Amino acid sequence: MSPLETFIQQLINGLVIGMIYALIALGYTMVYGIIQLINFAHGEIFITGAFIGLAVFGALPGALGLGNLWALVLMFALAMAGCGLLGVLIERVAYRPLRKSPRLACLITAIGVSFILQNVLMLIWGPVDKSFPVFFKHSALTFGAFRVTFMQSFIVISSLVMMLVLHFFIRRTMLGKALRAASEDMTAARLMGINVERIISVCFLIGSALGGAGGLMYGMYYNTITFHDGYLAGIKAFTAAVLGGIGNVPGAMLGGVALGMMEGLGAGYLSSEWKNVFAFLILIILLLRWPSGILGKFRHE
Amino acid sequence: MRLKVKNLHISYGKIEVLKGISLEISQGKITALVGANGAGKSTALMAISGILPLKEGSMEFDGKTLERIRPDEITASGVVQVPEGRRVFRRLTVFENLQLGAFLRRNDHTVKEDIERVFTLFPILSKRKSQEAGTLSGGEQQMLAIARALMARPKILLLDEPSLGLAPLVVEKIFDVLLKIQSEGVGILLVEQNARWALEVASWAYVIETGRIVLEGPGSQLLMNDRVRSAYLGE
Ligand SMILES: Nc1ncnc2c1ncn2[C@@H]1O[C@H](COP(=O)(O)OP(=O)(O)OP(=O)(O)O)[C@@H](O)[C@H]1O
Ligand SMILES: [Mg+2]
Repeated sequence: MSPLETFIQQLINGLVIGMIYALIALGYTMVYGIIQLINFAHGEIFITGAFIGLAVFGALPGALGLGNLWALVLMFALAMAGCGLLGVLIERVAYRPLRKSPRLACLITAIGVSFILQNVLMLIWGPVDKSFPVFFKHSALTFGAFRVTFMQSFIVISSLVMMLVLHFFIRRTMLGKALRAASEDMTAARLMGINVERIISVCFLIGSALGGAGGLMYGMYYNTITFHDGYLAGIKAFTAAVLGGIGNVPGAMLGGVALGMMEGLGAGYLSSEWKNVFAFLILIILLLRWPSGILGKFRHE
Repeated sequence: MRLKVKNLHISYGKIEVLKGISLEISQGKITALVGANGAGKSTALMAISGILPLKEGSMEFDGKTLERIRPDEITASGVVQVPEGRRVFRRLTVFENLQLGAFLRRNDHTVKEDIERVFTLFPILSKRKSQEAGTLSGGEQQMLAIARALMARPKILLLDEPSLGLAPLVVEKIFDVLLKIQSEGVGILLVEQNARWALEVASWAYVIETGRIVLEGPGSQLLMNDRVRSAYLGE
């Protein structure tokens, strides 16, 4: 491979993982956008998506084996539904009672929920690595020197579709407009007859469902998962959300892709052992230098 | 139809800000609420709208009690507020702000007609409809805030200082529209710094001082009251 080709190949790899970060980052950013809470439990919520997907695959009849698109669709649908409901449930029992408490109380609760979920995941699925089946093992597209696996194109295309649907939802539907209104001024939204509690549930539902899809992709892409994987990937996705300006939905998408590409290039040119360091480095620099993100925060004046 | 508020008590933490307020607002009439800064006027409106929890007191609208009900249910019942400081959704367009005013009827085809109707009341909004509300001038934002509330088809409109910080010409325009809305049968509770105008148009007015109603009567009568003249009309 020529240097340029290597560069492009690394970019492609970075784009794939970036799309996953972006999906997960959306959960952080949507929740933050409406209740200004960093939902630490999101890491566990999205990795639950990977576990659900795996369980669904295990329960599928033989005809729906590897290489069957419907198996994938079913896994994703159930992972997203399960994570969406989990997110809504967590909000309902853990965060809603604290709505009028100081911000710190919510934050600490979120950390607590994260620990509880991590332990529940360990109890259910055990403390060891779970390996993922490889879907469509031999199908890959090659463009000259570049190779894009089926899994990679599946990840990029399906996350792109989900993000476009989300964008349409937020921009064009009345519920999406109510969501934007409530994140700008909750009281004014209430005065307009918007049931803000329901809007908050919708944010958790969508953010967690997208996270679940991202988690399942994460598991499929790296082939193995454990109960504490949500933590590391969660911090990365959170970095992506901060990169794009936390609370900013298009920002989270761009932040995810940008972080993935930086990581991809870093792993390709420096050392893949260092790739996790990049995310933390970027997070620290961002928080010190541009706490409201490169694109700026979506907030009301 | 009448909105009756009885013996309203509201506290922020341990500090009681409203110490038993009773008001009555009738459809098709303007009722004024006048008082100094910090007297508790905005607090009273937020309590009526269901944003602040009542510590004590009751509300009755159209013969039905409105107790412990959510803000969206109060809006749905026809009691709609235009809050102090306008609070339009700055990042949303003028058109979207109006759509959100009709959020409870969002699937109704009459929303479009209502938008046309508020555009005839405030033609400038029609010119600005695709602009983000944050880019509007103060007067235009106030017009939008009123128009947005009208989109909910209010029976009772609660207006918190609609003339605040606006040029006299703009204020006049807004007051004209308010009179028009009243003549169409909407009841208006008007909180105003501009006490003279409020008292002139109000069929009934209340004076609030540190959380208590200290005086009430027909607006024209309060205009002649010595206490009101010295405290609120600068005479
Ligand atoms: N969120 C709050 N927390 C604590 N105290 C508050 C809060 N909001 C208002 N207050 C206090 O309650 C009192 C009444 O405030 P309110 O805003 O209702 O007055 P107002 O009559 O509307 O005044 P203005 O004419 O300045 O708008 C004031 O003393 C104010 O400081
Ligand atoms: Mg006030």
